[in-house]
Amino acid sequence: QITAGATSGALSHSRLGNVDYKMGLVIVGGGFAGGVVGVQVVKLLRNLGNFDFALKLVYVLVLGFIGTTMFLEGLRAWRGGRHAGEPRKSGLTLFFARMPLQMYFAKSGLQTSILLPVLAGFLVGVLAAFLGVGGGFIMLPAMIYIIGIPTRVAVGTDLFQIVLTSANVSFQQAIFNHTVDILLAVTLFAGSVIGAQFGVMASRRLRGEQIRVFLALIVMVVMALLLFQLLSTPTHLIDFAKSGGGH
Amino acid sequence: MHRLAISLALALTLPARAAQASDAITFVETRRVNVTITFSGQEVFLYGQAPPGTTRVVAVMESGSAGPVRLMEKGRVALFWMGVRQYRLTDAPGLYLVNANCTVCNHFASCTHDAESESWNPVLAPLGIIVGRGALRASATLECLSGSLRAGELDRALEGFWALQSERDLYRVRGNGLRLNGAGAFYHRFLLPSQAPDGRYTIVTYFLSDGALLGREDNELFVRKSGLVAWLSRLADRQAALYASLAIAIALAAGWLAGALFRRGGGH
Repeated sequence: QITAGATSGALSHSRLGNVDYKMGLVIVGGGFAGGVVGVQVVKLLRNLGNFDFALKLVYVLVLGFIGTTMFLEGLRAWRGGRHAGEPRKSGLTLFFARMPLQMYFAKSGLQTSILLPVLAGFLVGVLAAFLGVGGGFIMLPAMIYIIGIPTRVAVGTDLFQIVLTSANVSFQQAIFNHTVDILLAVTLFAGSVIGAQFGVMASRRLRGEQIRVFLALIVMVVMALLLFQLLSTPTHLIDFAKSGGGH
Repeated sequence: MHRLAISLALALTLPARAAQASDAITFVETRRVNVTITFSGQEVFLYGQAPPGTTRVVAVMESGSAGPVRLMEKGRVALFWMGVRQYRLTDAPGLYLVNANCTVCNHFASCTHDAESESWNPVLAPLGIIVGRGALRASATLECLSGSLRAGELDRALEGFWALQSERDLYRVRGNGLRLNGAGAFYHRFLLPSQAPDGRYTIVTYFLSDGALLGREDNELFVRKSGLVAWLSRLADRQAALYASLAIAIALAAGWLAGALFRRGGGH
């Protein structure tokens, strides 16, 4: 379902010139390695017996940090009316600009060491495998704030890497865990592939800082919901133990 | 509807037999339920004739085990609710439904009598038969993965599991779910939910009088995937790589198609 929606969005963004395929492939390389490590972390925590709680807590911390940072920066840029609306380059971006294995990414307009996107991809891959998501809400801020990709290109490139990452994970889940239901996926993505098109149309009308603010708001709402689940009395004190992670 | 009317007529006009105490007949309207792409659950209609003197009819429909299930018990640690105990439950049936007649109001929708009392159990228990919530305790095995089981934990975990399954309509005891008329004819329906596992189901009907088991009838039912659902299920089990490739190809094609349609529509 994620693969279908991301494909729909990625193709449309590609037509708008918003996908840096070179950058996407480098990030995916790091992401695959991170995913393998993340799966081992999941196994370890499941054996310790409280994977569900650890998962939600990490979600809350990661979402809270990302959402708050992005919201404040985006709001500042929106109000401040800076040219181009892109955040200042981070210290990490400037550091990797001087590291070896330099490569030029034309679509992003970026010259940096290949180690930066590989490392960013690796860290996001670990988190994505742990949290059981496609990684988009973590990768997108990482692309914008750490690697320094312009927001619109980051959106399109992120969708491209999600296509590859989610396709890989779906393939492995189908073979090793038999947990892919084609009929359910078709029902779900019937909506998401069309929704993705409206998302592309909307993104054309928004500036980069506006996209960041809206994304931050969504992230913070999800964080608040998860925090509420952690703090409120559950409906069932005996519940099915969830198997988390995996993609 | 037509089939139901005929079945009801048969059920209500079956002649009472001058019979031995163990004489009983049960019929299942269908022996096979096909799970297709549009399956959203199905009623399974049963009817028959009880032996003379029957005051209580108890019918149990049960599937095989759905495999081991991992459960957790949540507790509060500091501010947070988290899993504090983990369990593995094995040999619990995937579906367990019980219908019985209420001896007072006999299948009227407004029955207010205690359907949970399972008053048939004092009759059946000496025979080694448990019907109802107690059957889960008798058939399933609970293992604590966080140490050894403590006092009261087994009951708490099984009650919790029963509640979870009841929410999904997979476990149910309906003390007023069956109608028995004065001539000994009875009928009832089991409501098979959409999440019912496939496989072989046993249906056992017990005929009780005050303090005695008069007879027992066994039937079976098969729930099987069919059509596209069956084909995909077989493909996923036997050729997982091909199935995975098909899933990804469909996803990519759907994404491409949506993009193509919107492009033609002048979306961007």
